[in-house]
Amino acid sequence: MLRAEHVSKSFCVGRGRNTKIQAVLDVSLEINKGEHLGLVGESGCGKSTLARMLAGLIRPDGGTVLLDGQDIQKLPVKARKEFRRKVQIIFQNPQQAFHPRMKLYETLAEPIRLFHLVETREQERLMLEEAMERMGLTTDIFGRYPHEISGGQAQRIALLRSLMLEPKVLIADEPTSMLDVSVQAQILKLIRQTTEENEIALLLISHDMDVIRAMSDKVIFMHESALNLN
Amino acid sequence: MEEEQTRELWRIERLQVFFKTRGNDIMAVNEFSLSIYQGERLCLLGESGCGKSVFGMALLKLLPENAEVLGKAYYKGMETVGMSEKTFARLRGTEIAVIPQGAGSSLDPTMRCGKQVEECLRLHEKENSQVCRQKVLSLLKRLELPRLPGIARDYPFELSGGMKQRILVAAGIVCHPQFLLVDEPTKGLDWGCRDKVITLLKKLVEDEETSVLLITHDFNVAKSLADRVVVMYAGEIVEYGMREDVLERPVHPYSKGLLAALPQNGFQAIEGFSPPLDQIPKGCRFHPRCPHATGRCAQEHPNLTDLGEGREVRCFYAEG
Ligand SMILES: Nc1ncnc2c1ncn2[C@@H]1O[C@H](COP(=O)(O)OP(=O)(O)OP(=O)(O)O)[C@@H](O)[C@H]1O
Ligand SMILES: Nc1ncnc2c1ncn2[C@@H]1O[C@H](COP(=O)(O)OP(=O)(O)OP(=O)(O)O)[C@@H](O)[C@H]1O
Ligand SMILES: [Mg+2]
Ligand SMILES: [Mg+2]
Repeated sequence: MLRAEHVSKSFCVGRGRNTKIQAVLDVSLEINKGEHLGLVGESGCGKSTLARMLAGLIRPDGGTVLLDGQDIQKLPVKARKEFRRKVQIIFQNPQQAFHPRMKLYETLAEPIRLFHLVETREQERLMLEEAMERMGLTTDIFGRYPHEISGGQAQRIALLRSLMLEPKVLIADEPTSMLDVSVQAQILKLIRQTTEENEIALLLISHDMDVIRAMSDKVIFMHESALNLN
Repeated sequence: MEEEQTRELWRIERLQVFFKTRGNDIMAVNEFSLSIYQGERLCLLGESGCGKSVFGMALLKLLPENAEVLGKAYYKGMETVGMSEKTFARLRGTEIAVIPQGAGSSLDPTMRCGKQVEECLRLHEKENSQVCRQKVLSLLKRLELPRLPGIARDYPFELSGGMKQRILVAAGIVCHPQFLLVDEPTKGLDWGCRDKVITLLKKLVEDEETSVLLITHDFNVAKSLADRVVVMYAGEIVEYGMREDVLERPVHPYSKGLLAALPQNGFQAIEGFSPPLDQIPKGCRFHPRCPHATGRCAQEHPNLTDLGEGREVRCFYAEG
């Protein structure tokens, strides 16, 4: 369903931007409907960069990313909006993904309104309350700003916002790294359930082999600028 | 030697933290009493959102304005809760340091990474910038950051998650503080890096007698670093004691549940979630989720019971 074909990405850093880093080199992979794929590799080997290319947030230097056979960089405007919904990404640092001066309720309601998921404001609130409960969060958080919640709460809110949109593909970069073991077990179970029920394809990036083992059918090991399929 | 080791660095007495919010007021930390000794590594465990970071930030006087802190905290005999921000800031720059949670949001996005670490050192020592830079580079090298020395000139957004985390660790330990608060130092690091960070923290404690307050979700990190362990639930201490006791023979039902949730013990999560902090249940805070709860637990709030050997547990049915 979502496929990367020989994608590469390099960055120029340093004084005068004259040092080139090959963050990702010639990676090909495919995630199919309902599949759970684990992605592991040393810190700095290019996992997050690959994830951002798959989500269409950065353009690869070479190679293409395809969703259902269509190059995601060449989508017409309308399809691009659809893509934004179909492929969801959860960043390694969730707080970064929230608008710092927007209350969390607004942050959560925004995509619902954008994609017209429900008709009325009451339904919207109901939908959010229900989703919060499943994540073990309480609605007192709604009125707060992103810096006023704990790390683990932020992670769960990021997850909730993505799952709410019923994506086809969920790319999750260390989604439970700030949760204690018990809440983590609950959230992983919830991710499993939701992805299985709706046949969501999952690409899970983690340094925690126990998490990878519990969650994925297939694991990809990434080395510095190279990929070994397993 | 014996006496040296038991010197109290922090004495915390009934520390409480409230947040004024647009809804009900929240009590994030409730009556925390605890001592931290010199050269000790104390680990704080507990459910996500139970108040660990807030407690740490309250000690360091780094909470936002809507927070109110009550109680007393003595650092080397000096009361800090009522201390002026200016006086305390001087301590924070020199002998007290922090490695905050969340690398992404804690680094200054507009400052080069190496500079951020150097800054911490320059506050502390009056060395010239050349010496500072060398020190910083050698520390970054020990943390196995790639592309040295070039990476010191990069901005945070140009680094991967794990690299940013290591920059934060470096900024925290570079000035050899006497007290270090470490909030999730190994988040987003692979095993190799994790070991490096643990080794560095250990070395700091051994060489400089630094006291470390470590907040972590990673039991392996807790196991290899902590001398003592404190377990928190919904804003209060529910159990503390020596590492082996708490991690291997926990007494409080919450601590037991936490251990059972470890992958090697079968990923068995505790039923339910913790209560919102503005609607704390009556009686024992854990009773709605506790498999052994009785009528008494629903009515009466248990105090910490002393089990001897420096161990205390907040449960009516605790037996050592
Ligand atoms: N925007 C950017 N500008 C410059 N360099 C970048 C940028 N983003 C990433 N890099 C570099 O690309 C390399 C790969 O980074 P990436 O974030 O993909 O690693 P990662 O595998 O996710 O690591 P981690 O496990 O530590 O999060 C790193 O060397 C990083 O410094
Ligand atoms: N500025 C604030 N205003 C209101 N409530 C806050 C504020 N900061 C934190 N809280 C609340 O206080 C509680 C404790 O938060 P804290 O960050 O200490 O949790 P934590 O134990 O560190 O959790 P985690 O492991 O997820 O980081 C949380 O319920 C959080 O929502
Ligand atoms: Mg990453
Ligand atoms: Mg925290």
